[in-house]
Amino acid sequence: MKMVPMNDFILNEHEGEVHDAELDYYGQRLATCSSDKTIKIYNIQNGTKTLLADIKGHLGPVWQICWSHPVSGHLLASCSYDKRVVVWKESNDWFNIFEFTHESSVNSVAWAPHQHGIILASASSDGSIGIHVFNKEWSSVTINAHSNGCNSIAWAPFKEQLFGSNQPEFGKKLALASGGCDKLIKIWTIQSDQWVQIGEINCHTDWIRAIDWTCTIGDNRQLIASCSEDKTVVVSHSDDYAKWNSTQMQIFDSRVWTVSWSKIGNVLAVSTERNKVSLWKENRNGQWMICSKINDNKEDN
Amino acid sequence: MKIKQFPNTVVSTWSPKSNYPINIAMGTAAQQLDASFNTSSTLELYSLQSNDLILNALISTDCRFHKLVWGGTNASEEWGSGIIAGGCDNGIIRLYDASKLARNVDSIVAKSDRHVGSVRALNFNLFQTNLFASGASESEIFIWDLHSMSTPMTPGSKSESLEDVIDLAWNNEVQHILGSLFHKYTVVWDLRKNEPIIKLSDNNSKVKWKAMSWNPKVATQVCIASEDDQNPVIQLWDLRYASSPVKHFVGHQKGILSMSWCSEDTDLLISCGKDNRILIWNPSSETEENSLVCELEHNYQWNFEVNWCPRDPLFIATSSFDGQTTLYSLSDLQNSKDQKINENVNTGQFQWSNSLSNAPNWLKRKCGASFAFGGNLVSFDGSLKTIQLNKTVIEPDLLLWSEYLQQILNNGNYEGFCHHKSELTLDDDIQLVWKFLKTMFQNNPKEAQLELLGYSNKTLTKEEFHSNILNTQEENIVTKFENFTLKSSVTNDLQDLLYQSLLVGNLSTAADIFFDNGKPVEALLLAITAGPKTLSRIQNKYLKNSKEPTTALLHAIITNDWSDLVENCDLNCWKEIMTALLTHTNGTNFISSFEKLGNRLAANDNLSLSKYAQLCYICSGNVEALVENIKDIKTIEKLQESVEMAMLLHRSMSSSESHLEVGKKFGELLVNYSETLVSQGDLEGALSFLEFTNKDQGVELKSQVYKALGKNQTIENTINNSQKLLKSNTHDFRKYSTTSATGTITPEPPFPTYPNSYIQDNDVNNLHQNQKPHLSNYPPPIQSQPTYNLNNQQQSVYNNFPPTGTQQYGNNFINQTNMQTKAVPPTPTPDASSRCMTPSSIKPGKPKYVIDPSVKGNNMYGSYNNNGLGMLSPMGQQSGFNSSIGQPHVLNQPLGQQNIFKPSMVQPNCLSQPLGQTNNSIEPLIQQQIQPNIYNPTYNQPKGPVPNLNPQPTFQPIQNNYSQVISPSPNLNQSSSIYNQRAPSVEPFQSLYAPLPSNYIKKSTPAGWNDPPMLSTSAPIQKPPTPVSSTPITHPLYTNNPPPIEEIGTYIPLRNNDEQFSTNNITQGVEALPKQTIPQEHIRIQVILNEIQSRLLEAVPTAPTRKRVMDIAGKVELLYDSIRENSLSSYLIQCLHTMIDLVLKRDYNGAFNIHTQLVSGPEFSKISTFMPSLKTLFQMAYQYNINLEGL
Repeated sequence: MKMVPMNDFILNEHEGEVHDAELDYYGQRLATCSSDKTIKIYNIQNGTKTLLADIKGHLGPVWQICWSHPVSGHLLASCSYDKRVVVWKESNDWFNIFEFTHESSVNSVAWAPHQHGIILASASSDGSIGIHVFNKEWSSVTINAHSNGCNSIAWAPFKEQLFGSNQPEFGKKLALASGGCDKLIKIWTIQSDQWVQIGEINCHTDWIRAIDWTCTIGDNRQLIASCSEDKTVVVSHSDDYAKWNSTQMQIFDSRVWTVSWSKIGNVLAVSTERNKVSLWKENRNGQWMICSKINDNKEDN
Repeated sequence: MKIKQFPNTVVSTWSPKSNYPINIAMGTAAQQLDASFNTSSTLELYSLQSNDLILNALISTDCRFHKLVWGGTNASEEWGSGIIAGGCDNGIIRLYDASKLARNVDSIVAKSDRHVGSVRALNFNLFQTNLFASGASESEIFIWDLHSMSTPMTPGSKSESLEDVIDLAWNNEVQHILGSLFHKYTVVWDLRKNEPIIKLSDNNSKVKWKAMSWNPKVATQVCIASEDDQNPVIQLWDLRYASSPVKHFVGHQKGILSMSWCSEDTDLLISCGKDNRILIWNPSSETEENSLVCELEHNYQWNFEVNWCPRDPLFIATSSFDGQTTLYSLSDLQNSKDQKINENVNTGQFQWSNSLSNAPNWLKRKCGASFAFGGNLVSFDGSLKTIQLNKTVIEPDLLLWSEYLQQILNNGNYEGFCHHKSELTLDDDIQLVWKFLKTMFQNNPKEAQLELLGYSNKTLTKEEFHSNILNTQEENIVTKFENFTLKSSVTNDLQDLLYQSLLVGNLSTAADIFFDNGKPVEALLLAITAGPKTLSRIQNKYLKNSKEPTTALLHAIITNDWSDLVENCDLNCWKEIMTALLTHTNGTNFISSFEKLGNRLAANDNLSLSKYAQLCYICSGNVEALVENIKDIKTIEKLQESVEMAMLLHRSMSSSESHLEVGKKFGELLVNYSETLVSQGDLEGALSFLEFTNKDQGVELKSQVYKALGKNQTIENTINNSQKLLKSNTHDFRKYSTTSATGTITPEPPFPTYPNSYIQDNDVNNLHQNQKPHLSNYPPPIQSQPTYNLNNQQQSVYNNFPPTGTQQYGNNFINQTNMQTKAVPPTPTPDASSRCMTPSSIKPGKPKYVIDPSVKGNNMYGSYNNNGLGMLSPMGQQSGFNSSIGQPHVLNQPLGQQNIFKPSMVQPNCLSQPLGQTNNSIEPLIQQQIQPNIYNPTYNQPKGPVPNLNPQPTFQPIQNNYSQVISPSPNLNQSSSIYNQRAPSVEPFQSLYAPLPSNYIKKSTPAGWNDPPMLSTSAPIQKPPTPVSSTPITHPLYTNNPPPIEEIGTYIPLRNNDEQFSTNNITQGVEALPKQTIPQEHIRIQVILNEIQSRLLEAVPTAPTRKRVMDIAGKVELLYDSIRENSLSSYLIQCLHTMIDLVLKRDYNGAFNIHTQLVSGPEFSKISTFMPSLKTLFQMAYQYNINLEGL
C-alpha cells in the first residue's frame, strides 16, 4: 500500500490561500480555488500542468469547487465567501450560467449523481442548504438545516446495480447528507417534492468540517465519513439512511479538515492540520487502520 | 446582523468554549439606573438556539454586577458546566454554579468580600480551570482556587501605590502569565515566580487604559485600549519589545470602553466605546491604516461592553448605556457587492465598510485531500498555496494478481493456473473449487472430478470383487439341483399356478406371483426374460415396497430419472449425489441435474453447504450461477478470486463451444473488478477486463477509461485495443488451429468490439479535420489535368459515383477513415487466426513464438502489430471503395478480399516490398517528410522501367477481368499512370501532395508486406532498392479497382501463400537475428535474473563471486534458450515465474521448495542444465542479502 507524491507535480500559482483542488471526471483537468478570489483550471494530462483558465468573478475567497459529470456538460460549480454559488460553463471562455445568493458565506457545493439530472446542492453559513435544479431552467429551494451554519454536504452515490443486494431501488434514491456547526450530520431526502430529514448522526463534539458519502464496491455498504474540529473522524454505516451506526476512527493530534473516499469506497483519505494526509482502510474486524501517510515523515511509506 | 436585542442594562458573559449548547449569562449592571429607579438585580441565563436567545433561568441576586465571567468548566468537578463569577461593589464576589442556575435553583456557590471597592476585573484561567483572578481597588489582585475559596493568593508583594485594577487577563498560551491593567500601565505577572516580570507603560502619549486582551495564539502579544477621549487608541504590544507599542490602531473618536479578541481568528479584534461605534480590527494587518476592517454598528449610545463568543465566533454580545443588550451575528458580513473599503471616507464623516473583506479564519479550509479517478489523490495546503498530485496504490497485490490473470488469459495456461491457485490457498473449500476448475481443462474432467470427490473408479472396485464375478459367471445352474420335479409336492394352488404359468410361458404372470409371494429375486429373474415391460413393472413394484435406503439411488439408476433424487436427498450427502450424477448422467440431463443440485445447495441457509453449490455450477458450466453464488465479496482478495474463478470457468466453457456470451452477473462482476483496478490506477488492466463485458455494461466506466487513457484515441489507440482483443482471443484461436488444420474457419470475433461512439464523438472528427485540408488540397491539381477528366467521364459508369471525381476522392477518404476506425476491432481476428494457424502447421509444437523474431515482445502480437498499421488501411480502403461502387456484399468477407488482392499484385509488389518494409519501420511523421524523396525517383524515371516499376502490365489481367464487368477500369488505370507521370511536373502540386502520402503509404504498405508470391518466388529481388516510388501513388488506384471481383475462387490458394509467406518470414528472421527474443510474458524472467546477477556483482565485487556469476550466467542462458524454443511446459515456466516472485518477496525458502519440486519432477531432464545454477544464484542473493527492490 503506498501513496506516492508526484514530486514534479506541485502547483503554486495562487496568490491567496488555496481552499480546494478537484480533478475532473477523467482526471485530466484540475480545478483549484483560492482566497485570491479566482478559480484556476489546469490541464494535467501526461504530467503537464498547463493553465487553461483563470476564472475571476467571485468577490470573496472561493471555498470549494465541484466538477459535474460530463453528461451534464462538464460544468464547474463554485461557492464563495461572497454568499454566492456559481455554475460556470466553458465555451471558449468560462461563463457564469447560474448563480444563487445565500444569506451568508457558502461553504460547500456538490453535484448530485448525474443519473438524477442536473442538481446542485450548496451549504451556507446561514445554516441552509440550497438545492438548485436545472430542468430547462434553474430553480432553487433552500432547506433550513443547521442552526448556526452548514459546512459540508455530500450526496448519496447512485448505484445502478446493487450487486448482491435485495433492494435494487435503494441505491437510486436521491439523498443528501449535511454537516454543520451544530455538530450534527443530517440526512435528507425528497418526499413528494419536499425535502425532509430522514436521519441524523450525532457523533461529534464540535463543528463538522467535512463529510463524504460512499457506497462500497462489492458489498454495497453505505458509509458516511465525517471529520470535525473535535479532532476525530467517524465512519457511519446505514442500511436504510435513517439509522446510522458510527465508528470513531481515531483521535488525531489536530482538527481534521477533509475526508475523501476512494472511488471504490474502501479507502478514506484524511487531511489534518498542515496537510498531513493519511489513508485508512477497514480491517476484517471493522477497525480502521492507517495504511499510508504523506507529508509527515518520509520513512513511513 | 443583529439577532436579538434586550431592553436591559447588563453585563454579560458567554459560556466557555467547551460548553455546548452556547449560553450567555447576563447580570444587572452596577451603577446603572433605568427610568423606574428600579434597584433590584437579577442574573439571567439564556441559551442560543438557531440564531435566537431563549431565556433559561432567572434568579434575583443581592447585588448588581460590574463584571461577569464564566469559567471553570470541568466535567470532573461538581460544577460540570462551570462557574459564573460576578464582581460587585464593596469588594464582593459571587460565584454561581451554572448548571444549578440553569435549573433555576439556588445556585450560589461561594461569596467573598475580601476586596476593597468595586470588583471590576475578573478572569478565569483557561488551563487550570479552577483558578480565577480578581482585581478591585488598592492595586489588590487575588488568585482564587475554586476548591478553597477561603484564602486567595496574592501575587507579589503589596504594591505601594494604591490604584484601581481596571482589567485582568490570563495569557492564552502560557498558563502562569497574568496581565493586569491599571490606568497608566500594564503589569504582567509570572505566577510561577510570583512576581511581576514586565511593566508596560507608554509615557509618550496621554492614555487612560480601560481594556486589555491577549493575542489568542501569540503568547507575547497583548492589546490595550484607552478610554481617553483625546487619545482613543488601541495599542498592540509585544513583550519581546516592551519599550514601546508595536502598533497603534486609531479609528475610534472617543474613548474605548471594551475590547475582545476573537479566539478563532487572531485577525479579528472588536472594540466599542463612547463614540457609539463597534469596530472590527485586524491586528495583523501589514499597515496600521488598513487595520480597521469593518464597522459592525454605529448606534446612538455608548457601548460599554463587547464580548466575542468563544465557542462560535459568529456571535458577539454588546451592552450599551441606553439599556440595550444586543446580540450580533457576523454571518452576513460578506462583500456580496463589489464595494471598496473606505469608499466614503471623503464625505467628512468617517464611514467604513460594513463587511469583512477577508473571510474569517474559521471558514477557511486549511488543507485537504480528495480522491479522483484512477487512484489519483489531489491534496492542497492552503497556507503554502500548493497543490500536490499523488498516486495511490492501495492494493499492490491486486495489480500483481490481475496482471498474472491477464497473462494466463493470454497464454492459455489455465490448468497450471488452477493448480497454482489450489496450491496457494489455505482454505480447503476454495482449494476444492480450484481443483474442480482445473479438471475442466483436463481431458477427462469427469474422471478427475470423481477422484476429487473421493470416488475414483480405481479405488472403489476391489479386486476380489472382480475376480468373484469372473469366477461365478460360467457355472451351470442346472447342476445344482440334481433331482428335481416340476410338480408341486404339496397340494398348493399357488405352487400349481406357478408351475403352470412357467410351463406355458406366461412369464409375466409368474413374475407377479413370485413377487406377490415375497420372492422378488425370482420375480426379477423372470421379468428379465419376460421383457422390458414386465421388468419395469416388477422393478417399480419392488422399489415401491422396498424399505432399503439404497432404493432411491437404485430407482434413479434404473429409471435414469435423477430429478427426484436431486430434489429430495439430504444435502449433507452432496458429494455422493455429485458422484452419482457424474457417473450416470450425460448431456442436458447432466447439466440440469447439476443446476438443480447447485440451486438447492445455494438456497441452503447453512453456509458450509451453500458454498458447495459452486462445485455444481462448475460442473454444469454455469458462470452466472457461480458468480451469483459467490456472495459477500467484501475484500479485494475475494474479488480477485471471484473474477479468477468466473473467468476460468467462462474460458473452460468458451473453449469447447467457441464463444460464450458473458452473462449479466459476470459482466457486473467484471465491471466492479475493473473499477477496482481503475481505483488503483491500472487503467490499461481495467480496460482489458472491461473488453469482456457486453456493450451495454459498464458503458460509463469504459468511456471514462478510454478518455482518461487519452493519448490520441485515433488509430494508434484502436490498434492497441484491437491488439488487446487479439490477445484475449488467443486461446480460442489456438483451439481453432488445432481443431481445424485447414484453417478455413474464420472464427467470429468473440468479443464485442468496443462501442465506437466515443471515438466518433471526438476522434473521428479530429481525424477528419486533420485530413480534410489535404483532401481539399488534393483535387484542384488533379482537375487541372486533362487526363484525369477522362477518368471523370468514365466514372459515370459507376452508378454510385458522384458526378465529380474530386468529390469522390474526398468521400472515399472519409469513408476510409471511418471504416478504419470502425472496422479495426474485428479485423485482426481473421488475420490473427491465420497467423496462428500457419506456423503450427509448419512446426507443430511451437505454434506461437516463431514468426517474426525481429519484432520485440511476443512475436505473434508483434507480427500483427507490424501488420497492424498496414492492415487497417487496406481493409478500410477496400471497404470504402466497395461501398462507393455499390458492392456491399464484399464487405462481409474482408479476409478474402484482402487475400485476393495479393495475386493481383504479384509483380508490382516486388517493388513495393522494400517500401513496405521501410514504412513499417518509419514513423508516419517521418513518412511524410520522406515522401517527396520517395516521390522524386518516380519522375526521374517516369516510364523507363515500366515492366518492373509500373504496375500496369502485371495488373492487366485483373484489369481485364474487371473490365469485362465494368469497362472503364483500364482507362482509370491509365489515367492513374499518367497522373503519376505528370504529377511531379506540377510544382505546387507536389507540395500540396506531400502531406497526403501518409494515407497512401499506409495503403500501399500492407499490400507489399503481405504479398506472398514475391517473397516465395523472388526473394533476392527484395534487396535492390529499385526505384521504389511509383507504387505508393498507384496503389490507391488499384485498390480502388478490381480486387472485389475475383475473391471467392482464390481463397484457398491464398492460404498456401500465406504459409509460404510465413515460412519465408521465419528464415528471414533467422537471418536477421541470431536468436529469437523471449516472449513478452516471460521476458521478465530474463530481466530479473540478469538484474540479480548484476546486483550480486555490484554488492560483492570479488573475483570468486564474479567467476560464479559468470558460470551462472552461462547456464541461465540455457534457460533463456529453452524459453525461446518454447521447450518448457507452461507449468514449468509458471513455476519459474512463481519462484522469481517469491525471491522478489524475499521468500527464499518458498523459492527453494519450488526448486526442489521441479528438480524432483518429471521434467528434470529438460531443466537439469540450468536449475542448479538458478538455485546457486538465489542462494547467493540470499547469502549476500541483495537488495531486490525495484525489480
